[in-house]
Amino acid sequence: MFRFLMKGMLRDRHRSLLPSIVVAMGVMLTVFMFTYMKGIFDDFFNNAAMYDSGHVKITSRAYYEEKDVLPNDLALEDGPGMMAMLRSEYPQLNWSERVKFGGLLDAFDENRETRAQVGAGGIGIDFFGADTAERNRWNLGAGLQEGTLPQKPGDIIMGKTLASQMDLKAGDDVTLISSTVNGSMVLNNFHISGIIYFGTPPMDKSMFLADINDVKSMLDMGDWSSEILGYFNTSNYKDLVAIALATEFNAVRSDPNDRFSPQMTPMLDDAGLRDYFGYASKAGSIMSFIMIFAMGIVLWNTGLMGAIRRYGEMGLRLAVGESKGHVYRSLIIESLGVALMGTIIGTIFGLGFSYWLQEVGFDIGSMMGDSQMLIPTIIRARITPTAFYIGFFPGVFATLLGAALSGLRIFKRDTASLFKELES
Amino acid sequence: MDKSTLIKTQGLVKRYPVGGGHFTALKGIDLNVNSGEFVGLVGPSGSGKTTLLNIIGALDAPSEGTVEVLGKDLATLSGAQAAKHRSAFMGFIFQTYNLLPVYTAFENVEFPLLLLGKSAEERKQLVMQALDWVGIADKADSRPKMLSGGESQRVAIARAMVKQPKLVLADEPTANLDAKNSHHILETMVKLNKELGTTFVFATHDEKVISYLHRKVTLVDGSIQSDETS
Repeated sequence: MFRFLMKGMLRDRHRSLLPSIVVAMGVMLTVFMFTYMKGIFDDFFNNAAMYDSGHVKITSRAYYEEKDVLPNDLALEDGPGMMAMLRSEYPQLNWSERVKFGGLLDAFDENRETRAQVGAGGIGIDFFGADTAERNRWNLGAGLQEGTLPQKPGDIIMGKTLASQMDLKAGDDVTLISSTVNGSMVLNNFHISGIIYFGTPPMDKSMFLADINDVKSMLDMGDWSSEILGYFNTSNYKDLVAIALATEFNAVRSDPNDRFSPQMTPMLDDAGLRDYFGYASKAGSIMSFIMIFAMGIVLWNTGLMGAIRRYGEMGLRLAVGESKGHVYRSLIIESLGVALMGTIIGTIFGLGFSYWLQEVGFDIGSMMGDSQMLIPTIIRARITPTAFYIGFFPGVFATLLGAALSGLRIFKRDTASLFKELES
Repeated sequence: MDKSTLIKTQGLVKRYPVGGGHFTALKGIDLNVNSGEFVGLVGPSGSGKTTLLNIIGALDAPSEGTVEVLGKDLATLSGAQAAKHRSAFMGFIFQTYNLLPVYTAFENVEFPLLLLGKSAEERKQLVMQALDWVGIADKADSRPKMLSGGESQRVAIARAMVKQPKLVLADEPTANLDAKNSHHILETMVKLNKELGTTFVFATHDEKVISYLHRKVTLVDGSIQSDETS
């Protein structure tokens, strides 16, 4: 009997091929949209963590209060001591020092006359430390447009748009006009070793990276540390763990009455990201739900139509002597087969397109204009374990539900009207 | 019930709810059909002949009265038991053939045997025998869309006859056929009735069918008006 029904299913494209294609398309879209949204949200948070907040950030309480104006004069004292303690007591995180600063960048000609001046921001990172993870974290090699990464003290790399705006290229020198932590004016020459494409509009338009020791020296910071960022070694942010770490750290080492005592801040509490994260999570969940629900309706309808169009066949089978239960079960099994086939194919194709978008990406840089958000110009999908099974919700459950509900009419059917129905 | 009595109805009443009241389709039918009869329920549309056929076929239940088919009181059967009863002892022939379009003639005829759990070898032998009875063994591999109306109805008859049921219920079996095909079909059924002893009960108002009946039970407004044996 099973072979007989399978034979009918395979021969009838309206029962097998077409519903499978509809299910596969729906599942493919579901998987692709899920990974697309996941990629956008993850990229935003990864960028925020990489450029600005880390997974946790340690500053002085005073620095944190006034962080918007980059108050390096309120930095933590004994940065090396703090780094040594963190590496020893919190080995589950990778620790990096950062100094953010600003100033006026001056580009000069062969007579050392100013030819361009632009207000710019700089970040001091550890380029040359023996165990530095910053080069890999920033993935600088991939974005290098010309020249090299900093090879020696005094080298910097500059955002592509900023360099273009000032007509600078690798090999040129620039002067930064800024002020030390003591309030004195400082002029410091840097050598541009390379031009880099960060892939994030605000970074490309106004930022350069210098070695942290050069920056500290220029700003007269001595062994002070403005910001110490911690990154989980597994690379993913874990909010509950970060909160627990910060709570423990602050309880032991932070003194509310001492403005210069250290304070650990979890990523989401830095710069109001928690609100944004909450909003993004809810928006993502709602969008996923709507997408799965909409696909569910489509695929439920596929199951429904598949059963309704075979109403005559079922009537005949009942009249010939097949029990209602047997007809119903065969309908469900058939629907399950179609749903599984369509879902597996749809998931494979959805993951394929997602993989392409994850690896190649889609450049929307030209559409971003003067955006100041730390979001990448290349949209990428992100394949997570959930992407492997999320399509099964609309693909299998909705299709089965449609078949099951329409099939229920078999039981409610007035058997006596079979002759009339079959003859209509 | 007498051994030769296949169908016995007593005081059969069937009411259908209509609006606030009800419509009485059958008004106290008493009918006996013996094994091997070739009998027709004859009457105009709305006379109750299809309703009576449905009740005999365990597809519907009467509002009052009893019906016994092959010694079974149909009122005592559950839905599954009624389906089993139909599968084991009854064949159905419809006005519109109702062949399954994705299956060949062979497979359409084979279907009732699958429900009975017959072996593949037995099925093959019985199906070819049934197709041979109705004269279309050469069309065994044809799909319904490749068959004419007459050929399709012959496949439907083969499907009803393949399990050699004791009773075949046919509802207007010639309504969609021309005169030549109608006669061919009816002659086939007469032959099967004679050779296999199968009881045929028709619901019809087609004069061509009526001319072949051995017994004509005329229904008018849900009551038996006459019962004539030729």
